[in-house]
Amino acid sequence: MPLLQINHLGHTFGGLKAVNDFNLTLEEGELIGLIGPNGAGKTTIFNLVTGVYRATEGEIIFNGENIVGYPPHKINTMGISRTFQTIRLWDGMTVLDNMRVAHHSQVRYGLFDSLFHTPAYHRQEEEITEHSMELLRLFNFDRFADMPAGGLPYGERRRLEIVRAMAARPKLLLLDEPAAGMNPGEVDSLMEFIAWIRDEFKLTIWLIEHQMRLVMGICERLKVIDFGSTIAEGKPEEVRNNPRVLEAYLGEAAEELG
Amino acid sequence: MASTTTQTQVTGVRRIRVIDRLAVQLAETPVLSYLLGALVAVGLEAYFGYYIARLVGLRRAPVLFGSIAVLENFGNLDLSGILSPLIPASSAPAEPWAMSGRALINVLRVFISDIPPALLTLLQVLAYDIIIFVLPILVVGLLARRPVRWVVTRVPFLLTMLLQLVLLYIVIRIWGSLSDYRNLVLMFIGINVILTISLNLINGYMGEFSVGHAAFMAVGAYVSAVLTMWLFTNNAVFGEALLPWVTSLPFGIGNSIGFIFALLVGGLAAALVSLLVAIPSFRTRGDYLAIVTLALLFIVLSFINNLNAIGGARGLNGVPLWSTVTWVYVFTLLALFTVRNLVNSTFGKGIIAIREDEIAANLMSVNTKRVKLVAFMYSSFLAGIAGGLFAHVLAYVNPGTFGILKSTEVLVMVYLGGMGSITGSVVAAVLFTILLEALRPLGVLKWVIIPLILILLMLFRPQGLFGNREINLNWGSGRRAKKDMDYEASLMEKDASDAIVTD
Repeated sequence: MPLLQINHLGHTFGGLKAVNDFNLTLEEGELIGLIGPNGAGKTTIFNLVTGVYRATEGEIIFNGENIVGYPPHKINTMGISRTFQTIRLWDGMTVLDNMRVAHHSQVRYGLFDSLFHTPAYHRQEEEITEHSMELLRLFNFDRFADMPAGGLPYGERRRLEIVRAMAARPKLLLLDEPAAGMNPGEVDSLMEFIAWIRDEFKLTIWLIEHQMRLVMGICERLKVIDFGSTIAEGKPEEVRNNPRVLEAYLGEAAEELG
Repeated sequence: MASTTTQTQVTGVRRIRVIDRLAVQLAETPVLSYLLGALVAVGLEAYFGYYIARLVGLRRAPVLFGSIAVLENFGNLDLSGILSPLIPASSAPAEPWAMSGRALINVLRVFISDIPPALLTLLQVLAYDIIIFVLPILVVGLLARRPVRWVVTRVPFLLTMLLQLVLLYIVIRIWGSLSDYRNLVLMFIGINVILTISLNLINGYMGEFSVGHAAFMAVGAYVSAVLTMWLFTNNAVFGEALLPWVTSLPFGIGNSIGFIFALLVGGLAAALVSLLVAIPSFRTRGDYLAIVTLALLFIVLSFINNLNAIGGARGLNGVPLWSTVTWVYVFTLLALFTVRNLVNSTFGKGIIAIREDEIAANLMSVNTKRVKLVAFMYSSFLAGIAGGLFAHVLAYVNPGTFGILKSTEVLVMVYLGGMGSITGSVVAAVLFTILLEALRPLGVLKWVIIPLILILLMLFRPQGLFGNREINLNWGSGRRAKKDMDYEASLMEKDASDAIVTD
């Protein structure tokens, strides 16, 4: 059984068809990329999978369950975690608190326990803090634990978003342009980083990226979309030489070259 | 010439270091130590207050630290007639603008002639406050610092905390014992602290904007008042008590049980009403929630106004006077304790995450709808409790008390203290309540000065007195106090080494 199966996914905003007949089968342990020009509908697909929008057509089957219409927090709890194109940490909160809140669905105590700090509260808070600190230590963030997340440098904040996404113990990690705004050196270390967390946590990773270096370097399979429709898919080398991809990406320049 | 410059520079540095060290010492001194000082201060006032007041030339000991005594000097400002040309009247005077000008000049003349006596009173009450309050608190606080620290580093934190709360209670009771008016102000302070902290949960921690807090207070006030009157006491409105055996329980615990029951039911009723408004309104955000809560306020008020069984617009008379400083103190502590616990828990940090980025919170497993609902309901519950306490302070409630002005007052306290600061809320509620009382002699002018304060606050300190920070006080946790001692020791060492270098 595939981890994620998307059948005939479609979404319209008003009259605009943002995603059209999108299909995908994702096996456990894969690392695939979704590319396409600006406005092609990549982030919309992520938003559909994570429940920000409700798909108007098609189904999204995760672990054998159709998750269309589930609220975001439930989908996250089921094991799909994500990062964002523009960093969306809770800047005013400390790094540790960012991690703790990402464990929110693991809180089993009720309002009364959190008002009076009962033994049940302490037990679970200890577990949550311990898991948070464990992750922070693993990713070398423990020295920043008490700093506000907004005070970290840009690259660190991008990495922290990934660490925060790991709090829900996900099976599938969606990375939305993880290399945005990074220089070539930083992209190299990010590639190592992504490959490392995949092995360390036995994750399936699906990423959106513009930087061809990263996509070609680590993705095993690519899917290219434009105007909401799939225009190509396959191994990175195959996709690179596909004329439709070249046209969509490079437009007239490709034609001139061709 | 050169040598004198270095000389002054050195003394300048010295002076800064002395002030710094004093500030550090004051901040690190355990709260328990200050409470001992406060105990001495209120004791001093109870025994010698009158004589010291006479000594500095006051007729009697000032009630609220002299704030009222100072402003009483301006009590005879007559503002009538200044705005008359702008207001249509049936019998307009012949020269409306000239009349208005004369009235204005008259007010200014009276105001200027009031300044010297007000200044004199100010000096007198300052002298009184310094002798009675500031000096004992500082001197005893600093003197007792070392032994107190020795104690608190060896005693479990829980015990220290308990000791501090009991001591604070004793101080409050002695201070309040000098006049009934002080007790009244103390109760208003506690009620306002509860209101401020509960609204801070919504407007500060969650970042929503509710202006209908007075509605929940009204629900709590009316429900608990009706319960205590109907079930436990004989009165003109509801006749004989329905459950008279409760209040006849031995040792007076009957009244306590009845009161707690009525307050809790009042709080729950307020929470239920908030549920009615929360479900539809959380689909909207920001301005829309403000409008929805405003609408709720008017709905609740017109409901009460038209319900003749509970007095309608005339109000409800004969509520038993069950609120005491002790009850208000206990409920204020509970409110502060629970809200502090809530916002420090992972569950409650979800509330702050919603303020910071709601979509991210939802995607990172926070059930935002549920968290918002729970926070809103708990906030309303606390407002209902505050309302219940309020109803039993004056033996009379009427719908006019819970108008938009009450909501505004609470908003002002929240913004004054800082959004998302518990200690800020406490300080703001205390200051603002005392200010409201102190401005009473000025009559209408009160409603000129308070908005003016709000405008100045928004201009110069929009984040409130404390922003979203907490005031760090040394409450005497063993570990913490030990760290402070080490810190102070290191400071002294550094000083010593510096001295050697300069020599």
